[in-house]
Amino acid sequence: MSNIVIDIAAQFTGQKAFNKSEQAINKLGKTLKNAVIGVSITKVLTDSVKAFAEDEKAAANLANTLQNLGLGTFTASVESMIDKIQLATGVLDDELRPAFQTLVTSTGNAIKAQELLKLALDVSAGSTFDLATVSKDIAKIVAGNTKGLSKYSLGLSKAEIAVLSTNDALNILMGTFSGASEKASKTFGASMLRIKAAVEGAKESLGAGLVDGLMTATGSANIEQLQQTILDFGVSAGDTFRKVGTVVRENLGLIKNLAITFAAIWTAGKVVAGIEAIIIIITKLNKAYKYLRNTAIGTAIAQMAVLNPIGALAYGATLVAAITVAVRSLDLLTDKFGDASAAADQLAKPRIYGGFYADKYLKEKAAYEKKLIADKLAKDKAAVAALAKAAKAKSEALKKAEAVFELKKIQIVAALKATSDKDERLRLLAMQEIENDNGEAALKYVEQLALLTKEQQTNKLNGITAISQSELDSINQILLKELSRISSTKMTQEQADAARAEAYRQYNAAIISSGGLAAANFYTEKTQTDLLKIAKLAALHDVATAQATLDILNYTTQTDIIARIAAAQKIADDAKYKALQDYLALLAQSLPTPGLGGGSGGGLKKPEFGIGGQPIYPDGGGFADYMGTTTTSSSGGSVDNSVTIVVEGSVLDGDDFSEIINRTMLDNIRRGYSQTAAGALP
Amino acid sequence: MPVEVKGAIELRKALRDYAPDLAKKLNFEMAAALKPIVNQAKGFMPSQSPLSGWAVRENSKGKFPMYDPVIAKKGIGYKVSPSKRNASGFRSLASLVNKSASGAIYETAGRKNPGGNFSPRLPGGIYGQGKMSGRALFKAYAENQGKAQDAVLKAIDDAYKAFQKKGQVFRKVKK
Repeated sequence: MSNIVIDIAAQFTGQKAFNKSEQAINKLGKTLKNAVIGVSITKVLTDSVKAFAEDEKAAANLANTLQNLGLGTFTASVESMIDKIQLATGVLDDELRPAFQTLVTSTGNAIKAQELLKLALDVSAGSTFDLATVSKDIAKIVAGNTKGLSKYSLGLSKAEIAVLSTNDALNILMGTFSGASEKASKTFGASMLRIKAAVEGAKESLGAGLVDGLMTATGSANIEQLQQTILDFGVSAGDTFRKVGTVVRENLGLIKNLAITFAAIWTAGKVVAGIEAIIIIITKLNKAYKYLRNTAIGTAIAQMAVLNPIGALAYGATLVAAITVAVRSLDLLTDKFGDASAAADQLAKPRIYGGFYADKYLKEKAAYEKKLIADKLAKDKAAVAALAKAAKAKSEALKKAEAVFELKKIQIVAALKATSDKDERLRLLAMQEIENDNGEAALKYVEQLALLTKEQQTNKLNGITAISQSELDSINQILLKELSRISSTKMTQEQADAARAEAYRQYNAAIISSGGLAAANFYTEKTQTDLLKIAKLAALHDVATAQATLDILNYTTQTDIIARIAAAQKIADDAKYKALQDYLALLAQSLPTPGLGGGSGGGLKKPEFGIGGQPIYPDGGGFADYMGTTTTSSSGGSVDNSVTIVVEGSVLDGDDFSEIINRTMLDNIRRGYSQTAAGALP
Repeated sequence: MPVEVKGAIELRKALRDYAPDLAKKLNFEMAAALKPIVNQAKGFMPSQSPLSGWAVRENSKGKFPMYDPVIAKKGIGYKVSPSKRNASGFRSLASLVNKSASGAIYETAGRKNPGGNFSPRLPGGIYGQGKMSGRALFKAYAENQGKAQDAVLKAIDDAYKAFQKKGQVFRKVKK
């Protein structure tokens, strides 16, 4: 993939570059440290113990061999010889001991073996074969097998080699390779090997000293005790790590929360809350680690230092370093987040883009705190309201209980249920309020009662004995409400009928006790509507009392209409009779002759008529001016204005009758009839 | 060379979160600044293989990318979203790219070794110096004389100012 890119603008973010440079610096520091010290102390100490162990093993093998050969007294001198050869030639004792062991096993003579070892060193230095191979060959020669000489290029045929004696073979080797070892030891390579041998010797000594030191330090009398002590240390160290594991496990939730918090902290608007949460977690973790550091880890390190100060140095140092770094890191982290928290509290200082973010975070924080306060207030308010509601409910329940068990109140309630008389109801309601210590409400009922009494007295004075408007309206409303309540409740049909019957019964009783219904037009239109509604409901309800109510309402209406019709018929009959008498009287007289001219001095005036045939009386003249004197005198100057109206057909109610009369009269005035001219009636 | 801008990535995040209209406007303005270079660079790409042997042919088993003018022209474009951080720690805010392999070869062939049997035969000279030299995209960029860069920086600056202004209005409204 090609990488042809032109960056127009870029931003330095830096983290990766810094990481790389930090890694490089760390690597450089490590390299420098190793360069200055040479090798790490840990490696030196480890190698020392290892070298000592191997050397010890080889020396023990050689000593055992010498002991078995009956040459145990030569052990110290052999070791001394090997050390000297090692330093002189640079050949390590690791090679010298096996070679010497081979030779001494072969010869059975320690001194002879020492001489042969020197020969082997010369042959090895003069040839390309190592000391172990040469030693084996020499051992074979001592045993009479000279075949191995052929590889050393001595210029002898196989046949010649085969016939060589041991001494001859050894002499040939000495003659060929004598002094080679000494010469070789003076070369640069051999010198380095000799230095190396010295270092290895020092290592072995150091290792021996360490083991001795450990035995001394632990108070171990022998290696077995030291081993046991080290095993005990292992158990102790295991306990320590178990304790660390326990702490981690116990704080696993916190650690997870820490990770979650770290993940969530960078989401918008959660910085402050995140920092606070992290501080809490880190504080707890830090306490745990500090506790661990002060107790279990400290004990473990102390034990480590006493029991195995050097051999377990790397082991212990790593643990110490890890714990120290962890605790130190946590301390630093706590400090950092402490600083961050302080910084978060001072976010008013513009951070990015003129403080837009900072303001936003501050606002979010303030809004969050405000919301917390508001929530708390709302909760408190709700709690108070709930308590108040509960107290009120309790109080009302108590009052109800009191009302139920207080005899007087019970009597009032029962009386209210039993009566529908407005006067009585008002008295009972006033009494009930007085019992409830509600004086204002009681006074209102008393005022209503006074008004009602006044109205009743007024009605009595006016001769009205029927039920008044207000009373009828009141019992109408009571009945309608009761009927509605009965319809809305879930009582059975029988119960509903019984309740309706009782309601109608009380209604009827109230009307009858109040003097019965007056004429319908005595009441307001609303009351009449209510009466009509009650009549319809009563027609629907199949109970006897409802029928009685219907009868009352119908009777009132019918009697009213009949009375009206009878009155109208009487008026009509009277009018007819009067008109007939007038007509008979008129027939008995001669008709006057109307005049056609006439002056101002006497005689009849010529009549004038306006639009619609209406007579005009100029100059203040009257009807008499147009009539003959005879007529005027015979009638005595008076005119009969009585009108007879005959109503035919059926009339529904009083209103219809009145309408017919009015219309008839108006038509008479406008158009006139056979008996009277238009406008003749006053 | 790119110009270093401080806080631009944070600005773009803020725009994206709090003023998407400004973010869109910024992208649009940066794209408008870079498009002329892209169009011109596409024009510098040959419409057919500059060398007869480099043209795409059927049954070719070679791995060397052959020159396809459509792919080469299509590979030239721009990018206005922040890139990943490079080894030096920089993130690109806006860049011009020549993505196709054959286009890149045409772009850069002969930079190091002007001689040989291939690059001298390619039409068009190499413009620019060092790693900022080429035949198409770099040539167009060089001929643009930094106008696009100025326009991009101005777009970022304008967005920053507009965002600040909006922030003030936001603060006032909030108060």
